[in-house]
Amino acid sequence: MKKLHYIWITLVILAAIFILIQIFGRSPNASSIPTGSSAPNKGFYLLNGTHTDLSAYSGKEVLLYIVTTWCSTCAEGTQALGKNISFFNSRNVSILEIEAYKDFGYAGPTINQFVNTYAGQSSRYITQGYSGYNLTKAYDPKGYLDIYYLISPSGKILYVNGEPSATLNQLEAAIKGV
Amino acid sequence: MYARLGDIANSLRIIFSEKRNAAIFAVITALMFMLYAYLLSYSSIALLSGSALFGLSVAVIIVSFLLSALFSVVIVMNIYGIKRGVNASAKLSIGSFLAAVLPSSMCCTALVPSLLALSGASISTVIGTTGIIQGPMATYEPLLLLLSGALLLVAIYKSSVKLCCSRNVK
Repeated sequence: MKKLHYIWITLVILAAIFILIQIFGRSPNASSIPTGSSAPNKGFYLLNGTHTDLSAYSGKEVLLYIVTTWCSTCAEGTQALGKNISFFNSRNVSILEIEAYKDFGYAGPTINQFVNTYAGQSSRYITQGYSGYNLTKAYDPKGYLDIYYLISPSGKILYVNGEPSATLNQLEAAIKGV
Repeated sequence: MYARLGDIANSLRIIFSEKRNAAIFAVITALMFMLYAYLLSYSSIALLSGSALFGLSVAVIIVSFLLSALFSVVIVMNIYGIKRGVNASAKLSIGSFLAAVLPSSMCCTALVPSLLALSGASISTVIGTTGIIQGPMATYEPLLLLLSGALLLVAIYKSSVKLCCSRNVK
């Protein structure tokens, strides 16, 4: 009977992992920046090393997508954005795909390699960059491996979520609703 | 070696000749397949092929089925062995399960940073440490899945030898 405990332990571990995942979730349902509030004007670095910030995109609708380049979910999200780039272009939504500050401490591919690999030809429509510490702290303080913000031309947060591969329909609905 | 392979075949034949064991195998396989498919759908192997069934990639379906079937065989062998007083290989099955699901469950969820935050870590620590824990798991996830499969095969082999050589096996 003692040996049967190992089977119960296995099943308990299985259930615990599943429950923990449900509790902590995969998609960031809530962030530190509620929808309707102003998007913090934080800085990031473009591929050529130029430092800029979100005010440069004032007057444009922006999809700010913060990723970690070693994360498979982020890769799928980038793929999804790439496959649907015509939708974003038709709605004049500028996509900023920004690598989280120092890839959260573990170096993956460069953001350029990452986007080119998973977005393919659509990568030319995606502005890529590296987050400064303050941008990651402001937009992703909980350390979600990927999180995106739909920001209005006036700088208001319209929609927040993660995993574009799984939430693309909701994102498109949010864009259409603008 | 051939004698050992014969032990495996013989053990499986005896165990699954009982309808009850076959039913347990089917149920556990189905449950484990759903769990593996859910977890592995967010893993790097999901990128290996396009969507096939219910949005799952072919690679995820195949790997999930293989791991769930092997895991179920180990569980059924353990149950069979326990009832006959034979020491089976439950520890290997636990290790295999953890090797398979931990990378995927921890890699791409907020589990690690949330636990760090709960432990009192500052935002800067969370931002700087999350990747150190999750990054290697994400990077070596395919190897961990292979390890998981290997552990399950070893568990089946060891359990088969014990069951077959046991005087309790009819």
